[in-house]
Amino acid sequence: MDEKILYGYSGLFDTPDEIIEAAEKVADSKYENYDVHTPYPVHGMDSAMKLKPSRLPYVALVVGLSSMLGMLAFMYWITQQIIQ
Amino acid sequence: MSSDTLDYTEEYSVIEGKPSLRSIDDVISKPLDTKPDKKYYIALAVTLSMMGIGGVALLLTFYYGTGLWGNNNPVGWGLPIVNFVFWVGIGHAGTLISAILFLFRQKWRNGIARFAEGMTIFAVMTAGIFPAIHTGRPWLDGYLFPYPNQHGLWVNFNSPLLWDVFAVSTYFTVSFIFWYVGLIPDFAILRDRTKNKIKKTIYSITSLGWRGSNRHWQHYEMVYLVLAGFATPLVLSVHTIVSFDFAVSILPGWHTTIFPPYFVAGAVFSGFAMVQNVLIFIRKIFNFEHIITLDTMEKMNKVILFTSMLVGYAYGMEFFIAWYSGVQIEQFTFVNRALGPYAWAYWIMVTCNVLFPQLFWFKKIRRTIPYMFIIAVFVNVGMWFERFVITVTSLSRDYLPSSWAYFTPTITDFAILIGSFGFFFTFLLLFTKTLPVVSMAEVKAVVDGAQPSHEDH
Amino acid sequence: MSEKNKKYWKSLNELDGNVSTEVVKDEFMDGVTDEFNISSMNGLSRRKFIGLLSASTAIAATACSDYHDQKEIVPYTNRPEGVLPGKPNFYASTCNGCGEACGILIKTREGRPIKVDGNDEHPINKGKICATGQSSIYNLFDPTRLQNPIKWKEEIDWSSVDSDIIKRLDSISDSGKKIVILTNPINSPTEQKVLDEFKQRFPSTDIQTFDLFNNSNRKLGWYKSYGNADVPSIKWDEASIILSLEGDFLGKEGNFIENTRLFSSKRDFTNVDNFNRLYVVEAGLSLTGSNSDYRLRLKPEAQYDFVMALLNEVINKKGASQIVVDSGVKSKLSKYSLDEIASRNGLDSIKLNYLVEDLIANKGKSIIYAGDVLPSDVHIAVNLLNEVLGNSELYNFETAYVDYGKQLDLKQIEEVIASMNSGEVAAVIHYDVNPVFHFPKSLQYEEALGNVNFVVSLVGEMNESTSKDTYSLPINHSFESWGDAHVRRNVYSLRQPVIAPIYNTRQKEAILLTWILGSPKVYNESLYHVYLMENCRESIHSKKKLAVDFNSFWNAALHDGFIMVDDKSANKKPFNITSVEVKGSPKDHNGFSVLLAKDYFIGDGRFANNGWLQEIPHPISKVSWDNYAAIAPATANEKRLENGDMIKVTVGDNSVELPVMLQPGVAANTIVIELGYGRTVISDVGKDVGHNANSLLNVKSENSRWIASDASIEVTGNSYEIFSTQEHHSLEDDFVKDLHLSRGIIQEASLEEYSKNPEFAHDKDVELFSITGEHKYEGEKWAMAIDMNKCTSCSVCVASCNVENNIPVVGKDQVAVGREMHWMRIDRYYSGSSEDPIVSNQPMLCQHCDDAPCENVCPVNATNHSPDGLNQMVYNRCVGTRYCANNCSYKVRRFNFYDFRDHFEDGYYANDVTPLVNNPEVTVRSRGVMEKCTFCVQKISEEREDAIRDGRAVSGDNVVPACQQGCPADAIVFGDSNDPDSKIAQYRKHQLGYDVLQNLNVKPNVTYIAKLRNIHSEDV
Repeated sequence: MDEKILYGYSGLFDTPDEIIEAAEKVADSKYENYDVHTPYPVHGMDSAMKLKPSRLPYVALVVGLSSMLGMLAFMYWITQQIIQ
Repeated sequence: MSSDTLDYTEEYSVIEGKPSLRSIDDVISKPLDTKPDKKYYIALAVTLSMMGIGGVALLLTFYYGTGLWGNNNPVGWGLPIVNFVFWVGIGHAGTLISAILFLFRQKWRNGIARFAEGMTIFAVMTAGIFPAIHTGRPWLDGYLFPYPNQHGLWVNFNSPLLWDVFAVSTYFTVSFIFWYVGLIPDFAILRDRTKNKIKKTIYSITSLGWRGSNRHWQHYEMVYLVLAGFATPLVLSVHTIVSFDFAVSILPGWHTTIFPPYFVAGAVFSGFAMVQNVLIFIRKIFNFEHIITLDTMEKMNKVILFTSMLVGYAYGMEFFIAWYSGVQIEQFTFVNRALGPYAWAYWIMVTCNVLFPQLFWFKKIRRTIPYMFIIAVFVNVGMWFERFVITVTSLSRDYLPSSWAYFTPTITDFAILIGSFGFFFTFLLLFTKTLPVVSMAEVKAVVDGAQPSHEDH
Repeated sequence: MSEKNKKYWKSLNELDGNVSTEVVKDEFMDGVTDEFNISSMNGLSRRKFIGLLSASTAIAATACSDYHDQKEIVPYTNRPEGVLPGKPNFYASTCNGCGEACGILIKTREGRPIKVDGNDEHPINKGKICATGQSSIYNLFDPTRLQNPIKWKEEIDWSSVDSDIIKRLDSISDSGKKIVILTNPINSPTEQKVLDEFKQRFPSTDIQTFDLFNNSNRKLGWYKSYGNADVPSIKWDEASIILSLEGDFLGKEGNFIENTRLFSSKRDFTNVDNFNRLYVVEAGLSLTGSNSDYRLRLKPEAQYDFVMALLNEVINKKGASQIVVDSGVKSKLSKYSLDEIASRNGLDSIKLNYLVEDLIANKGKSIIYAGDVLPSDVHIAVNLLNEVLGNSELYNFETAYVDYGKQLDLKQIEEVIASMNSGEVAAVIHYDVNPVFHFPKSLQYEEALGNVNFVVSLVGEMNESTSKDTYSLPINHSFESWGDAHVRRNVYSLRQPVIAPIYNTRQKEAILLTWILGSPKVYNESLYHVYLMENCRESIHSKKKLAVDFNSFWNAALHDGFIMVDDKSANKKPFNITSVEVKGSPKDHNGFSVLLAKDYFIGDGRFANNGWLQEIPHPISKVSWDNYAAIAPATANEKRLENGDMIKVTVGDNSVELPVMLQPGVAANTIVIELGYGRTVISDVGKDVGHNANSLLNVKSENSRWIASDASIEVTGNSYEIFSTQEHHSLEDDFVKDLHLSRGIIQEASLEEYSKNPEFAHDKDVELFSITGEHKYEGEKWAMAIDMNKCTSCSVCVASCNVENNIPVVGKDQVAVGREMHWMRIDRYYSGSSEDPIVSNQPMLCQHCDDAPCENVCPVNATNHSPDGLNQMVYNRCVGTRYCANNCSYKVRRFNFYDFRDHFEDGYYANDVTPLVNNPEVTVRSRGVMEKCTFCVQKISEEREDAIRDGRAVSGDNVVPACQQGCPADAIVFGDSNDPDSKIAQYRKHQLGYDVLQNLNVKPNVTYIAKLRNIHSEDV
């Protein structure tokens, strides 16, 4: 058999405990393309799904610092303009 | 729950009962689904006409000049600046609740955060009007921004007024983004609920394709955390810088190092009072009693009590330092506040801000709606007078006795004040009918049993 | 060949005639023109489109361009001789504000007078004039001046006016009925000549002179004592002890500009041994009183007793008397003992002893001066006292006053009025006077006018007296007039016009001349000019026997503005002791007395329409736009009166309602009222400003019309708001008492303390250090010093600043809310008790601090510092946050809350004429911008230009700011403090020089020289 067939499964869970457990199981069995939908962030789900921590903070840090330095430089320059 | 049986290890509930996820959605989005009733329109009419009064007063001012106000030669800053500081202060509770309490993991803030943020934004908008209109030539306000021009003229970064411009605008931007980010999941919920075509498209756009996937939640929570991190120093910085408008000058009564913390405390104080005032109505009208619980209100009252004592301490400390510094003019200024021509204003301030809130020591009063409402109203009045006392008394009697003069506000001044309230409440009313005033997602997250039971952190 | 059938050809072929028509038809190749069809094309061509585009852009551009209205600018196509655009011309002339006829220099730009200052060469006022003179230019450009002749309220042309009047005057004088000319005292010989000729021409004329305030009592006293009326001026600069009895010689009496100069010259802090000592005995707190070293409160009618007692005391002191006083007088005098008088009137005996000692110790070097308001017998007594003390040395007969005739007293006025009622008088000519306003109501002058069927008024603007006019004739402002004046023996000064009459006016002398010459045709612009020259030729030039011909003499005289005449006729006659008749014995004065005084600025009311003058705060009470009944706080308490309560004051048959003002230092049971207010028929500015108290003139009294001892007051229960530019607080309130001393704003000490502790002005100084680097001032650094020993708070600096810097008049309603715009103000502080206040004055203006607090708080850099140490305002950049004003520790910044040039409750400012008064060198500030003193930067730049042109260094001595230029006491010094041998540098270095609020470390550039009081050490 040479043509691939794409299977999809979905399950509905009532309690956070169940869905966490399910997620852990799926993650353990090395599945990659799956997702968990919750009406609110369920604590511990990230670890259950073995997700890598978000890299957003680093972006924020770089942007924040650079714009701060930029502004300081700008102010310094302007103040120089005024003084002489 | 009563504080004597408080067990700090136990995760106690901040939402009463155990409402189902659906019921939460239903109750919170009810105001959006139903048509506004007569009462709503009456309320709107009132606030709009207040706004109109202010508008007329402003137009007259622009046409004839700032002479229509009470300002005179020693007293260059009158009511507009007082109102500005007052409203910026009101604008503090929101971000404090949503950001700082978030960082402190205070679950009870989830019920009120959204609404408080909304108020912050409207309060800052209201405050923002005043610096713009108080200038002698408002049509030249553009000069306050550093833009390159053919004269090679730049703004003066040594001036606290300029710091103000940046502080307030930054604060507004960040609060707004923070607020919007919080709204995204709720927009998604509304999108999924509504049957109305137009609403659907609007919500679909504003919800930025939110699906509630946990991979979204992961980044979402990170963004929220970062923004909270941003907002937290801003809460402190904005009013610190507003206080610099006074503290950086050389005027006795203004030139005081205690001002930054003193102003921030005052801002939180008045902010909480205002939030509490308005929430009392909201939770009643929209039946949110189980979401915005009496416990939550009580906690807010505790904050009010605490900040009231901070403010009281500041009042005392001002006098102590004036005496301790041994600077005769400084001492005169403060005695003059308490006993001089503006003593009436000073004592209104002290009674409303320091004496009345002490009643919150009594649990009964902390947990009775009418009492807490009245006290919070007093707090707002008192805080307005605090700004009045600081601004006006110091100016009206400064270094040279020859140039002393008494400042009396005019009708125009008060009309503008009324207008600002109209402006603020109009936006608030529109807010209650167009957006969920309580964050559904956040509330769901703190309903009992919403989180895995074998949670270990 | 003719033009008609001229033939044009496009090609040689065509010329030849063999043109293929096809070719012409299909000019273009096939297919090119097939679709080409004009009608099918868009009507809007590219050209049209671009046209419209540019047009609309242009419209948009103009619509969005500058919002000020653009006026047409007219260049000098051919420049008038001697006028250099942008360069001012100065013309010497003579002031007409009062009778003193000070020499003035009028600054004109492009033929437009913009500033008036004293004429430096003038021997009397030496380059200074009073606030009124400074501001008089406002009246020239007053849009509400009478602009055309009026007959029965109808405009009419001059020639018919003249012909008709001449006819009627002739008929009247033929009928032998009286023509009454009412005039102010005439100080001009030529004008007097005109009047005399008028009398010859119309013999039945009788010329009556009246002035609300005058020195007749002084003259009468002098006449009785010395047999002539050559009242000498006084050498104040040689008097070490001065006793002034109800005499405001520094404020409003005689030539107080001259007096101030001479007086202040003995207040030179570099020569403290030479300080004079001023005693003042008065009822109201006058400007002179506020500058006194010792002040005694005494009711005006008690002055006679006081002087007699003083005489008695001095004569009895052994060997005190310089002249023989016969025993008769002595014995009579003995009834007046000083101690008794002192106890009767509650005078401080310690001060009295000092006074007597000083007077005797300084024989011949002291002077006793009695005020104009005091009756003649007091003047006689004072003359005797001066004789006894040998003080007649200090009389200056060289510059004695010229006696120009008697003046009506109220009795005579009643006679005149009676004759008017009886119908003897057929015509009344108001020769630039306002009797209806000035005469007490009970005289019923206005009603009497009704019985005269021919009334002509020669007036600058309609006034109370023009109501019954047949003719109201507009006269020139003195800046539009020729004239002369001879007030002092040695000076004959000339007046020349500096601008052609703005309206259809004539100068009053010329009007009379036309009538004298009897034909309207004789009038021309130079009618009086020629007449004046002729008179000058006869009376001056011919007498002088000069080599130069008259014309060059005349031109030289006009250039100088005056001519010195040596007239030795006035000299001292022996004192006639019989003139002293001593009345029985001292009386008690328990009645309620009223003292009427002249206003400091608006004179007898003729300047009431001058907004600048109305707005200058009263030198003592700081009230502007009002007069009031000044009353002692103690008396007010008895009567339960508050500031602003209305009282009804009754003198004789007349009573007047006016507000009370609690004035520390006023004598008990006395009210002092300044006249000149309450004009009713006048244009916007002066209308109903203050209350008219002229009716309180004492009709009954033979002695003095300005003093009433039998007045009565009753409280009406109404109240009225008086506004002053300075908050008053009770002197008893310890919380705000003497703050000016404890805060080191005012530094003063007695001479004794000074000698003990020369550094007293710096006792409170704190050591200052700066955490930032200081800016180095290379080149000039502008600075000012104000000598508080010399300053008398006469407010000339304020007036001068107003005119120079286009300070707007804001009106009473704005003064009420503390928005006056004066760049220069004079702060007044009281210390001591409310009965015996010690007054300290302090001129306050922008201090141009090196570390100015206003500068670093301005968000837009609208105020910043110049390299030569000026604190600058950039009006165009100012947004109006007012933060600078808040942060100014001296509160000298002024904010334009309105466009004060159209917001002015009492008079619309924005008309075509008034703006002409503006100084083109100084920006007119718009609404919403901050302004303040610039140290007259325009004058600094002027000097810089000159320096560059002449290729020399800028010199601080050439820069004279308006306030310094105006100051009659030379209390203000300005210059380059970096120039070590400049006067300003010396002042700033001097131990008496101190900075106000030194501890703030803002480094002000205005140094104040601490005031030294010449008082005995015991009572400090």
